[in-house]
Amino acid sequence: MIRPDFDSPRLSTYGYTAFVVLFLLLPIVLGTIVAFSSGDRLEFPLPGFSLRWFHEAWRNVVFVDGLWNSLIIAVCSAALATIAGTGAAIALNHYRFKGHSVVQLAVMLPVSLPGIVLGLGLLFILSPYGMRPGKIAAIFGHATVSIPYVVAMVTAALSNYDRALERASLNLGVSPARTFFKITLPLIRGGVIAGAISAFLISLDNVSLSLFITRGDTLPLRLMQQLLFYADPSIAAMATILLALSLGLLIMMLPMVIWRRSR
Amino acid sequence: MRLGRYAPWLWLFPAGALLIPFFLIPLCVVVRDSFYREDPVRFLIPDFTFANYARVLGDRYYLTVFGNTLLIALVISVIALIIAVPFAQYVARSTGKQRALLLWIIYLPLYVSVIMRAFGWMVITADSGLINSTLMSLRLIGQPIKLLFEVEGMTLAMLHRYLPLMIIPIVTTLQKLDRDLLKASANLGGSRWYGWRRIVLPMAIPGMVGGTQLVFAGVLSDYVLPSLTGTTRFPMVAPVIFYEAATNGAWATASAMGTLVLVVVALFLIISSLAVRRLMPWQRAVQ
Amino acid sequence: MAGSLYARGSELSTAAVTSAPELEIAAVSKRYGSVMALESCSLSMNRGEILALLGPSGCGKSTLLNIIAGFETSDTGSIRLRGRSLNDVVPHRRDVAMVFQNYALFPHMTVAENIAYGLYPRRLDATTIRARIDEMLALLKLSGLESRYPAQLSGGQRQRVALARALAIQPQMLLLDEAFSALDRNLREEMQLELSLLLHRLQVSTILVTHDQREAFALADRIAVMETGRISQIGAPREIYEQPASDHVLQFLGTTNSLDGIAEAAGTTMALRIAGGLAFACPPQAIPLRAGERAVVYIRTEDVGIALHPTAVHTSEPGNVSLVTFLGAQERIVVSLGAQQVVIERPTRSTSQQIAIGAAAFLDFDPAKCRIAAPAVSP
Repeated sequence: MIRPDFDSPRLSTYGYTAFVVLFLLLPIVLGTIVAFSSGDRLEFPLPGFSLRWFHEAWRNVVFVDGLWNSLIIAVCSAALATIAGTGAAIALNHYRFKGHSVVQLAVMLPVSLPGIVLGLGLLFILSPYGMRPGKIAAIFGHATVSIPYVVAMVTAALSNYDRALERASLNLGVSPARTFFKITLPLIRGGVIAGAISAFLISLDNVSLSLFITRGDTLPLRLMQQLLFYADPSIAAMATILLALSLGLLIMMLPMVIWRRSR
Repeated sequence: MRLGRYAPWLWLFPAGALLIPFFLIPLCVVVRDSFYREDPVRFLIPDFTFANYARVLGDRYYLTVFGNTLLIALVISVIALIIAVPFAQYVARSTGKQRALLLWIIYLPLYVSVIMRAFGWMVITADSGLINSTLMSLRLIGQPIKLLFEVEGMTLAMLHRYLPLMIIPIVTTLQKLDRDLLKASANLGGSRWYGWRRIVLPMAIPGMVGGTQLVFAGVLSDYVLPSLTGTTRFPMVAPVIFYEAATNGAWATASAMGTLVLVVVALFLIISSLAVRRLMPWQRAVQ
Repeated sequence: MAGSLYARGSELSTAAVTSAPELEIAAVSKRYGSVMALESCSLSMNRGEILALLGPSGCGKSTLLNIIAGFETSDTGSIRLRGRSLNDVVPHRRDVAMVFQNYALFPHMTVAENIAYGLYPRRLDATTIRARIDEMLALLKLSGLESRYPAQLSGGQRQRVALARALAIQPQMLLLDEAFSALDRNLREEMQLELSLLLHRLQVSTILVTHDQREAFALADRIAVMETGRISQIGAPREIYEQPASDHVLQFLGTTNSLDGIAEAAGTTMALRIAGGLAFACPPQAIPLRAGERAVVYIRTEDVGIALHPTAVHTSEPGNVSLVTFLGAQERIVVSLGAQQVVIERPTRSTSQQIAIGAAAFLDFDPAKCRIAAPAVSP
């Protein structure tokens, strides 16, 4: 469609947008650049360029151990969250039932309600559940707070596909279960994968729950401890490695996000 | 539909299996424990007392903590709203590659580790960081401005973290705005400003409220940024809750504070959602 | 109504029509990339006239309308409204109110607020605004609906609100962009009739864009038929229907048969001989054809009929009736002539006068109504 000329943004709008973009990107860019610093402390501009802090970070057992823990937790919790979230999204999207709006609210609530309070609560119920602070507890906790994100992504995918395809399949005699796996799931695959990646990244980044239900095992917690103790570029290096990982996953998610959002 | 009346509940089972034990129950436990008695040895003794609330709401220190956090949450919500609306408008009207790029830039901070972002802000606001280095080399200031580990630096860092959460709902809402409405407005004699005031703004309300809800709730309960970029001279509620629970073992106090935060957030969400419905009578008119 | 500026409508009709046209479009062109959407279009309109831009999709009619409204800018040419050039005027200062295809009613405002929308920028006082709203509600038969929201209105009601909103600002010109396509057929015709009466009474200069020939004929005083960016012909409905200036216009209006054959000269007439021997004879046409050349004859379905016996001058051999369809007030008969078919539409005859399928039928037509031309270049 032709873009109406009368509506074109003014020059000041372009400037403003650029400013906001800068604001959003600067800390991330700078944090990454500092990882390549040859200096001993946090400073800008950089005294020199070096990869030494990457070596430092990689040799730091505390960090690497934390990364490993976090990855395990993230993968498992993402799996759980994806299953739970996809099921919930399908229930909410395909069916009308009593309590629909209550369920919808309940499923999205973990986004708005304070993580710190939930963390506290999880700490309290761990022993009654027979669990100790650690990876298992973290997996369940992270999965729970990731559910809303999975639901959002899968719901978006569900609203974009044509249910007539499902009906056609049933009409041709295919059972509901097979229809789900052969027709529905592939069609909403984009949303499901996007949701899974979101859940993974959220778990990787989680602090407010991990504080209470792990023994300081996860990478963000260990990075934070180091930061509080002494801020040096090795943290930046580790965080940059994390960033590379996140970006890699996000790029995979790219076609699904764009396709969804450009409506 | 296919498996009978129970079909939706079967689909909901996995989500329920996670949400009930790991979300609903823990929150209820926190509320319950806030009425228990504190004990140095056993942490909590089942009882029903308001002593914890009396302590938390009566002590000046705790009141300051709550006040600080509320103030920052409100300030950041307002600033984020003001910054987000023009930006979201631009994004909603962009197309193609530019739009995809902008959406990427908005989503990126959300998926990048919060530690990385906090670190980035530390680099920018530190005494030897970007801002101070630039200003000093331009000879505008003689001594570094103290931003990091001060309220100002912390506010900036939190603004950066929560801005995308304000932008995204507004973009979503503005996207649904029919372009023809703006053409009609101009056609009938309305200037850009008139059209913005009477059409864009009212129709952006759901997005603005949704964004404010996310930002307010987020800032109120943020632990990482106050801890990393803030100062103990301006305590915020989340680090204090953790301190009480983990370091002091004051579980009941922590529960009371946590419950209060929960109540404030819940009230805010409810009131703002009702306000939206009142502000938008035309939504209810859709039969 | 006291103070109603639409009373000027009656003033105008008594005053002598001035010679200066209301709207003058001169040599307007618009190009999108490699596509020429409009090619040097010119037209002029008088005050109080209703002009239709009629053509298939892609002919440029909407582009021209958008240029008049100011939503797009033309590459060349000028537009003058009441002598004032509109070329550099921003859309919101043009005073040409538009009714959009999907009405573009503001969903968050009531009917009354929608109608009043354009009045506030004009700095009218509250009493005047209130009076204007009431006037519009009565004029468009919307009384009682002023507190409803667009979502609560039917399609026909929404269209009225869109019209009321446009007329409320008393624009110099009204633009209708396919304003009836969202309504179903019966409602559409009812609204067209109402609107036509209203616009003539108010003497509002109007341009409407449509691809529907019936709509153009029902509403417009003059019609500009457009095709691929150009205006093929402008004239009153009857004029362009009966004297189409080009084959395109002829084919676009009404339903037209086109038959291929060979031209042959016989005395003072040209004839078209179709394979199978049938000849259509017509007076010499504007396009000179030599005997032996391939040619096409165009004749409208209502201009050709069935004769049960050969008429002396016009047909020589019969065809076969292959299909008879009852369409209500009309009936359609298809006659095969060798490999080609002629479609005839005529008022339905009584059952006893029905023609049987397979019957031999001679074709009866008025030579003045047919047109022989060189075959169209196939794409």
